[in-house]
Amino acid sequence: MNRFVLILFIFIYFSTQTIAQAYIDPGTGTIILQALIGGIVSAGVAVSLYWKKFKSFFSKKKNDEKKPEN
Amino acid sequence: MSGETKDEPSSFRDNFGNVYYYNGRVIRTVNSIAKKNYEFIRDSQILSKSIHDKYLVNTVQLDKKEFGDKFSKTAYLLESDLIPHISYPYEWSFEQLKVAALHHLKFQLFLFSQDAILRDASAYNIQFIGSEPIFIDVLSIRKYIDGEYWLAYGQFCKNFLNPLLLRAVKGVPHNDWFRGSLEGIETIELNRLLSIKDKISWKVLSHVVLQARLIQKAINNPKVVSKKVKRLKKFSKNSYKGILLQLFNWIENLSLKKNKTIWQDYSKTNTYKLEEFEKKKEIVNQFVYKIKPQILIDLGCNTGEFSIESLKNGANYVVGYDFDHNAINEAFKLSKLKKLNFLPLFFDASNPSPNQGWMQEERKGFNERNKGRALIALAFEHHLAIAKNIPLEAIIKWITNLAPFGLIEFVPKEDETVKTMLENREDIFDSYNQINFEKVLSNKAKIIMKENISGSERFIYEFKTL
Repeated sequence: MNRFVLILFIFIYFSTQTIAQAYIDPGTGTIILQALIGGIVSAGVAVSLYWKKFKSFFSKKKNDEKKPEN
Repeated sequence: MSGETKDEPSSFRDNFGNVYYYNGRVIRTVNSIAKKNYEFIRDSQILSKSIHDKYLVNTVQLDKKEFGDKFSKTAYLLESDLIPHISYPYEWSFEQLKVAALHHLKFQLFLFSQDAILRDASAYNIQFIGSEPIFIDVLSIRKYIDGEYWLAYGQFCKNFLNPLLLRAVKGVPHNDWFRGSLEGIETIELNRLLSIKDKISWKVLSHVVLQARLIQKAINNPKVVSKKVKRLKKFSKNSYKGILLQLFNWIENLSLKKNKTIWQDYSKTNTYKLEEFEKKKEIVNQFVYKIKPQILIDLGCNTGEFSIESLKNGANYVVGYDFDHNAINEAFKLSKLKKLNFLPLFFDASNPSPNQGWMQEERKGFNERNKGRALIALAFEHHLAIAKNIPLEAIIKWITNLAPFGLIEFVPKEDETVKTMLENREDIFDSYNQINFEKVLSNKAKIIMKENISGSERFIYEFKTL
């Protein structure tokens, strides 16, 4: 488990919370979430895409003779 | 113009347009408020491309004059293809909900490339034709506004992500909870169920734990959070797309937390002899060949053996029902693999889907959607009679009220399965015998044929209602 996730987990998990009964506008909470994670997620997706390309570049080299590229 | 138009009660909430039925056709109005948006998706070819790529149900624009003055106030009139059988997310297996979620995300990503988005994320907007998902709500598509946030993200989590996580992480099927909570499973509630171990994952942490905290914060301090939202910067297109992609990759890799269920391996391990199975197959084949049902109901379909046989021999489309979650999950995978017109769904025959939602009309019940169709109920009635104490008379009344034609198998007390069911309980079923079964059935319907299919005196009856 990477340390960043663990620290983030501890931070989020133990951040204060109280349970309210009213249910007014839950939509705003999900927008703030997107603002918080959007950048990290898009960077993560980009990195994983490059990583996949990087891996497939090498595995392609190995398999070149067996599999034609689509 | 003759014939009556009937409202679809599930479409009344949408101010963009409503759905009507007319002589078996699905008619959708486009209200003046949605006129420009509709013209955008039509003129930019988004509509035609979405239909061509099988994201969206086939939809054409009609001439309003065809309906006289009936729809004179609406901007446009559309017609969509009729879906053979409407089903709801609380009737879907895990795999089916997953396929629906991925279809929604794929469609969103496609629309994103066309500068459009879906303005909601309701699972009810996805229907199945066989095992193929299709989006049915044309008016959900709208132009992307630069810098906007994914407003339907919370709804996507409640309708798709949370029910899938409930099963994948906790091993709890989503069906009963979803049926009781038609808008889906709240993120706050799912979060309360997860253990610390479940939460130590970047994705669960962000999409469940953090989301739940922020929703709670918004509930506690709505004004403060609302002010914060107003001060937020524009949301980049990359971030929007990133969240869609991340959810897609995550959901694609979610798998069933294995709980072995009773009937999942039934077709492999049951007490059938091959001869008996072949005999049953022959009877089913002859029945569907003769009736050629447009839609056949298979009650207690298990993993779909007889549904698939029926499709080969004259049934055009089969809706299978079973109360075993793993069996319908397997049946759905099989239908998908073989690209069949077979839609397996979850149901408990002693408590099938009711009419529910606003005015108890939004989501239709089992009977309303299946009445008038031919059915087969093989190795089925004893689960109601013995396991649920439902009198034979009531079972037969229900089945014969539902279907004009059908096959029912009677499983006697001498049969190994019933013996096992009665092993640890008091036998209170005096009238559970073949003579009584036959008497009750002949009171409700005409018995066309009966045949002994096994040494344990299992009989299959073909009936036609009087």
